[in-house]
Amino acid sequence: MNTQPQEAPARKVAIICSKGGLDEVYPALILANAARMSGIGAFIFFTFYGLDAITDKKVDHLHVNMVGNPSSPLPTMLAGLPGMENVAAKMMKKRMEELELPTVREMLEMLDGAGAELYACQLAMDMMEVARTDLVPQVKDVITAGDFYDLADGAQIIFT
Amino acid sequence: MDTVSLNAASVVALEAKIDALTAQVAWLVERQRWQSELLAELGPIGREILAASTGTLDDLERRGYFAVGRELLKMVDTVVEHYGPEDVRLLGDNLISLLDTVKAVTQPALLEVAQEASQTVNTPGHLEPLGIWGMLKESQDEDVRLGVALTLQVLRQVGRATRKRVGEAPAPTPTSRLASRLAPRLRAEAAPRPAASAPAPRPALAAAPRPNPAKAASPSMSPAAAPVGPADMCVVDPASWTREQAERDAVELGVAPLTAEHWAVIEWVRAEYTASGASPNVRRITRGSGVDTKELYRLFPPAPGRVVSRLAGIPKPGGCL
Repeated sequence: MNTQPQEAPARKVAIICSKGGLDEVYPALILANAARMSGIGAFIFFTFYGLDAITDKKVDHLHVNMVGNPSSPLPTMLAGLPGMENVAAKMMKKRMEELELPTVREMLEMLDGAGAELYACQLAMDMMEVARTDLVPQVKDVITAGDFYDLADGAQIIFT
Repeated sequence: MDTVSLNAASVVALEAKIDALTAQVAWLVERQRWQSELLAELGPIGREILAASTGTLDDLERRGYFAVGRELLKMVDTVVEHYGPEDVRLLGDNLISLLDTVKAVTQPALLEVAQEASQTVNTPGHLEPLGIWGMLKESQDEDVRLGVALTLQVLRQVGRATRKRVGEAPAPTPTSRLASRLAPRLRAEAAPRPAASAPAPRPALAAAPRPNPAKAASPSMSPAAAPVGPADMCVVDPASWTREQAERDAVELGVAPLTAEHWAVIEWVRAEYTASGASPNVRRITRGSGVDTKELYRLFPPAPGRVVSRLAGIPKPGGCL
């Protein structure tokens, strides 16, 4: 029998995901996954544009912002042209496929299987007019910032 | 003339001899008769045959068989002069592949294509020379696009074959180039594993223990409740793994007893490590062994990647996923 309690590991991390770009969502997801792989409890709180990552219709269509992004490989003048964003997103997706990086949807499934808990922000859902049914099934609950702090009691909070 | 004494016995003997001679002569005459009969019958037939064959040969000559035959003989003569028995032997050795190539080249599809191409070359019709803009315009044509794709494919094959013939390694794809830089990425077809990331040489599991990147106990973790610290996962000697050791480790880590499900995963992980030289992370285990994430976390809490590698006697997996 397992003597190690699985429900409440001592160390916890609480990750806030507030942005919706493809490059901005992955850090939160990977941090949570790595935490779970080390046996650390993980929660992710999706707020504002982070909601896109857990909205069923949008999760497969996240883009990277190339304009005004100093790290972007494209100069802003080119990046602003119509269609360039799609091109950049496609190229990034292709590279991720080649490296066998999981898609955002797949990462959410992995996190759910690993025991990480995913929460949506109530306020952001009201603002973006997202209903509970629009979210991916892996989301555990819709909570407020206060609830989040209760959950994060004793946890290390990471803001992305 | 000598007198011959004639008595009864000698007369009888003489008679016998005469009889025998007569019989022989009769037989000879008979034979002669048969022969002349045979010749008489064969005569016309022979003449017919002779007439017919002469006619056929004449016909052939008129149609040019003999002229062509003479030229063919000259050709054979040239070939024999030019090539030696060595060449014929080499040809014989490669005969099958030669015939295969001929067969491939004379497939109806290819012949059709070649025919159309040759027709275009022979009767170009009205063609204007194309410049850069003309080429750009023509590249909108679907047929041209298909032809370009086909030609590129042929070129690709030629390049590949040349590379193989010259003995170079197959061209690195962008995938394998990128993969070889990110360690420890496990891809079956990747370029040779970079030395820096590979934890151990593959053949024997005798590897230097993987150095611990983190301290054994960080200040923020309470030691009693540290779930699976890096120190726990330090595998001292992968080559000396035994099942009993795995059972002992399982007790220590709190996952004992090891059921068949546990062992299935452990065996798979060991096989994977032996095959690829790198410990598989959780994602690889879920994809390769068929056990899903939830199951893995249930079987090997709290950190399946590390617990499984500890139980399997291999270094803990790297990577983020």
